[in-house]
Amino acid sequence: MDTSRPVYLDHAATTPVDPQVIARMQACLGQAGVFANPASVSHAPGRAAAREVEWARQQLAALTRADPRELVWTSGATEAINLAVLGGARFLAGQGRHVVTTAIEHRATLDACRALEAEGFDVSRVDCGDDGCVSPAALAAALRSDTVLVSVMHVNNETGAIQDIHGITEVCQDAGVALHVDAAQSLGKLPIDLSSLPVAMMSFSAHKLYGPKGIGALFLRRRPRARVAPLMFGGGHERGLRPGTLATHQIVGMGEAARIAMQEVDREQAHLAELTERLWRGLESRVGGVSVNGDPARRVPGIINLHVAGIDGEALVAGVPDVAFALGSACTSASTEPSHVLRAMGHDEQHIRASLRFSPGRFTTLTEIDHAVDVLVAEICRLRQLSPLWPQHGQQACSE
Amino acid sequence: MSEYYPESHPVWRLFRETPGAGVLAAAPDVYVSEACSPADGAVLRLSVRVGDGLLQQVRFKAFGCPACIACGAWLASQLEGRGTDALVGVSAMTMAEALQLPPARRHCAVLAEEVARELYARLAG
Repeated sequence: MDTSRPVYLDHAATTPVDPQVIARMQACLGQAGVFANPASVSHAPGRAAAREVEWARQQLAALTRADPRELVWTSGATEAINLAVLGGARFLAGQGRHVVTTAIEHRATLDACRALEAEGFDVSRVDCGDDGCVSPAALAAALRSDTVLVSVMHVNNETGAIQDIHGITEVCQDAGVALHVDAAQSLGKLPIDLSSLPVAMMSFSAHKLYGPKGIGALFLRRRPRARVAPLMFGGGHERGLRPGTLATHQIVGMGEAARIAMQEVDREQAHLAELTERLWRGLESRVGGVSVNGDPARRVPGIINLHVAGIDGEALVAGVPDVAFALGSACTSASTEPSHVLRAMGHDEQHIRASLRFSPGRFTTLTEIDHAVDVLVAEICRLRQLSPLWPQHGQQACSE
Repeated sequence: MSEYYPESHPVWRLFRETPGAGVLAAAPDVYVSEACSPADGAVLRLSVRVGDGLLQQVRFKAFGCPACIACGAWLASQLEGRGTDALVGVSAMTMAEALQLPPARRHCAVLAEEVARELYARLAG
């Protein structure tokens, strides 16, 4: 184990770029590489770059079982979501001005919906249950005759909760409403078959999948055709939906990441399940009072959100510099910023403050997890000894 | 967002070393007060042993961010051995300056001032 750097358990935030992806990207950068403008198809270097771009599109299409012509490159999932939500609602505004989303979406969706409200749209936000999942029935109840768009995430980025996309798709199909799915956290982790799942739009990111930051894609169904109004103008690239010179190296990086994910998905998910289980069980058996936020059986293996009773997450993350993981909230004088997801699940301030997200990755080892458990146990015990809230009723003082 | 404190920062030193951490066993000469920050749920508890008009022993417990724990430790180390009037002399502003608290963490010093004044009221009452 390399002890010179922290054990990185924050892959839900971003992943390192796979060495095979780096190699493929590097081949697109230098003078000897495929550096030309993919739109310059009048000469051979330009055509070579265009072939690379289309090769990458085919890889992503294969991973999601889409038609390559249904994929539009963007700068990332945030832009893809904005194009779907803002562009989709604006294009359909003549048919209605009501949009439905959920209370647990990523800020990209929530903020895009706020922007729509400023334009005069109505937005309904459907709550989740205490398991972190939105029921299709609750979503159906929010639909109106003037609803034109529904936007729902596939996997929640904080809890890893898997939403019932098939059920939600049925609801939207029955109502004849376009559905956009934010698949930033599920691409390459769960099977996605767009040839049989009738969603209108789906957003993807490369950097959650061992690809580079700064590249993503939006799936726009051809039949029945999903339409969006473009957000940017200037050049007609990507069928006029996303202008700007295509970043061949980024696109090829995402394509290579998709190709590797197709090969590795089963083995990788089994590996991640073993790592998160070992982390949870290791902490629970040694300090007690550790529980999973959400339904442990309905989450992606790579994300686990744990509540550690009696500690403040911010103190724990500061006290364990050897491990990189994420918090649900942080304290500030102006306002607390507790996780809107954990809050929607019904948790109170102190519960949210004691909640932590761990997301190991493809290259994380069992040895690293064991080391993380050791240092976390030591700091949890120290913080509990300092805490006036510990031991709580029914809990024992912990020992290392 | 979580703050980063370099090792030389007073908050970091007090958070790691926590001088004065603990609780005094209940006794006639031991007084306890507790304050909670409604903004973020942080809790600070102070217990003191009083004799001859002096705060002979001062201990703290804290649930909160590193700055909150550091404020508890600073309070305990500043008050021990001083007269009980020192409790009303506790100033959030002085504490914030001494600990170089970032603006977003100054409410932790306010919490510490509040728990000290609450304790003084108990002693006086």
